[in-house]
Amino acid sequence: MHNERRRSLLVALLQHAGWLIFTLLGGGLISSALVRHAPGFGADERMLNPLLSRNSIQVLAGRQAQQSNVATYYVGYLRRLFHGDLGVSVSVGRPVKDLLAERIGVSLRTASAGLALAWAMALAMVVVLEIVRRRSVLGLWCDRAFTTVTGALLCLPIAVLAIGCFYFGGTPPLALAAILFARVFRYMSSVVRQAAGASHVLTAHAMGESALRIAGWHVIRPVLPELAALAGVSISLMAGALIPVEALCDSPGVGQLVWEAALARDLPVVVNITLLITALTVVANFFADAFRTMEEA
Amino acid sequence: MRCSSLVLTLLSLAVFSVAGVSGPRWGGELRISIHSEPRSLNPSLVDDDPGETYRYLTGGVLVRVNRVTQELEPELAASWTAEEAGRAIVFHLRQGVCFSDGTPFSAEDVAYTMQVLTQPGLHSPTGDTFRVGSRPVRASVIDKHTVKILFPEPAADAARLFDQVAILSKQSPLKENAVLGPFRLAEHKPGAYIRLERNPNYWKTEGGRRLPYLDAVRLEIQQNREIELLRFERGELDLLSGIDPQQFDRVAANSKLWSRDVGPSLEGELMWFNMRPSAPLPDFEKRWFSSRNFRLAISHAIRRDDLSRIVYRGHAQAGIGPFSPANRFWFDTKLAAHQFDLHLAQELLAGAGFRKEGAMLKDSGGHAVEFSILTNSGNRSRERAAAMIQEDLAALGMRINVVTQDFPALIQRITQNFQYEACLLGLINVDLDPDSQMNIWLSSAADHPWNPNQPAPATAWEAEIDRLMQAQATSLDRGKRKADFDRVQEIVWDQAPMLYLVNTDALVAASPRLRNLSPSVLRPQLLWNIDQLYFEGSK
Repeated sequence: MHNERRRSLLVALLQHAGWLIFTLLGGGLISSALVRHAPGFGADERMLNPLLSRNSIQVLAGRQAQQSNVATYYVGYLRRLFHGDLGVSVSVGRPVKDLLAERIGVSLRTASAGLALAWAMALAMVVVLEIVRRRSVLGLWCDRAFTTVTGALLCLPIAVLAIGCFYFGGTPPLALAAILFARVFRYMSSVVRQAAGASHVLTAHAMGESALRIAGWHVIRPVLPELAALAGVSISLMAGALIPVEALCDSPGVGQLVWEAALARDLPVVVNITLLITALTVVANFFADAFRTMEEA
Repeated sequence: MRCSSLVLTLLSLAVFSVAGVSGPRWGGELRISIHSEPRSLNPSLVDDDPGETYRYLTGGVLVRVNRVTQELEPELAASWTAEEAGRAIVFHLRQGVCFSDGTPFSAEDVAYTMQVLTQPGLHSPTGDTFRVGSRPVRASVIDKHTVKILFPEPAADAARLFDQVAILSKQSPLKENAVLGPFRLAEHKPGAYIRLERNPNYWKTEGGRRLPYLDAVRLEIQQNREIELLRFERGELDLLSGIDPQQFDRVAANSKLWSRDVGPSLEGELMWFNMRPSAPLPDFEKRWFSSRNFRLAISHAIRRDDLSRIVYRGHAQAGIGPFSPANRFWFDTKLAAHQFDLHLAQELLAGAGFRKEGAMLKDSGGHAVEFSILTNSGNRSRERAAAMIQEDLAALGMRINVVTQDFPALIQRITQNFQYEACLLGLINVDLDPDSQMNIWLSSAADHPWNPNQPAPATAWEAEIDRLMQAQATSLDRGKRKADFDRVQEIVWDQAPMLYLVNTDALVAASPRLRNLSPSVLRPQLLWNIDQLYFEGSK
């Protein structure tokens, strides 16, 4: 019986890992195909430089032509990746590994600070809302105010939020936090509100337990699996928001790099960063799922 | 009372004497922006604007084109002479000059630089300018301070090419980071900034002290022009050049900032038609575009003055030809911009068999004249110019569609698959000499816009341009070269393969505390005399 359970766990784990690898490879292949078939692939701004000789222009065109077959390129790329070679950027002419190494620190700092700030704000507001909700007038006004603010933030395009933050002296992590906060808050408050209406919470109130203890122990704790899933989703949201934030706020991170690479149809850079983002998203969701399973168990 | 008057007088004298003798201030950091990361900081590989700015600030050159007088001036070469009927230039170098790391500068370094630049696999714009045909130039060291540059064929005004050649050190272990220019690399944070510090061995001096006045220059990588302007207004950046007319007017309205419209630059906007015989266009369209009357009619139907007044807010002049009047020597003063004349345009079209049926213009085969103008997205002025041209040509009965695409997609259309009818783009001249435009005017060139890579000239006038361009490139007589290129400009004006719309003004702005600014219409407009710039007061 014990062996059977272990075997089924192993099978589930292998299935998960297989799905993870399939998602990663599929993501890379799709991004390669999209870049390859985007209008302008194979064209380089330098081709219009009148100082370049015909031979140099042909060499430039030849560099891009090497990547014209998506399947061949992707198989070659995976083979090189296996040996730790991420290829060379077509637009900048430098190893992708170096470009990523230079910029990943900036993105990690922006992303972690932005995420932490967004979650801290959302959690604090949810707790405050939960505490004051029972005081009828104040609770009502707080609820309306938070709904209005987060609604407005959700309506604004990410680019506008990023530029607005920068305009008022904000930093990229602050812009990222502003983008993520509304999304995290909305989901978190809905989950928490549902939990707050549970019978055991009403009993706790009736027994005169403190508001803070009720919010933390009886409301937040039971919804931790949902919050774990939200954490996974917010990492995906963060990865999506990081690109416009870094590009618009001129923050020298991976998001800015992939933005420039996409504009320059720089296949090696786009494929590597797509894989990186896919891996980050898949792994985050994997851990969120695992945590939820454990909590539910 | 007398005592206090005396004190006041003495104080005033002291203040005035300090003000009088206080010359340029030393020190301070100049903060400027570049719009992308330079592809390479190696001066021999530079192929973009940010790289050129970096090279200008750090690189020492043998000769420099004075951006205001447009004359060639000695720098690391104290003098030079042309020899062997224009096949050679002998440079006599300054003595006692050292690279930023203290390595002495000699003729060996010049020869080494030329060797690096002419490596067959380099493929850089600077290196390619030294290729006459398929053969590169050679450099031979005559003595420690004399070097001879040998060209395979006579090369006209070849000394000016060295304005772009930053001399590399053959001996220094720092390689390309050992420099002879006013600044050297201090710190590079990819994607964020490049910090340059004063070159302690810079050869130019002022009052016995080594220039530049500034301690450092910080090149902030700032892609977003709106944010760049915002940071300039906040005082976080000290200089702006190549500003959009709308942004310029905003800066000019701010009395706390210094700004100048320096006048027409060498840059401009132009339009051309796809005249490639193999282009995937209907034959009747190809016939329109290869008709001189059709092209001239369109040129005369465009209100250039309105483009200048409305789109560029008065910061542009009507375009005339390949060079604007800003190029004092090479501009053909006999030419004037094609005037707006709707009647003349209609006559030209009628002469080519076009006729108006109702509101639509039709060709002799009954095809309605409708085509698209392709331009790049993201350039507000250009998009508005295309919209105005659309309106102007509607008066002739033509239906124009404006198509905007991002740059790679546009380049693919105009250089690879030729799926376009007309294209509206900007022209940037970095060199005053027409020799730098060989790849535009020769019919066999890859950058010949309207019909590139022709095996043989498609028209008689293109054959004539080919002949004249080749002749001016090898002639040593400057007057003869000028006459040849004037003729090229006249043919282009007469045949209108490219419609020159406007020459934009050079618009610049700076911190009011910056001194010795001498803005130029040539690039780098405000930085060309970087070693002379200083801040008033401490910074």
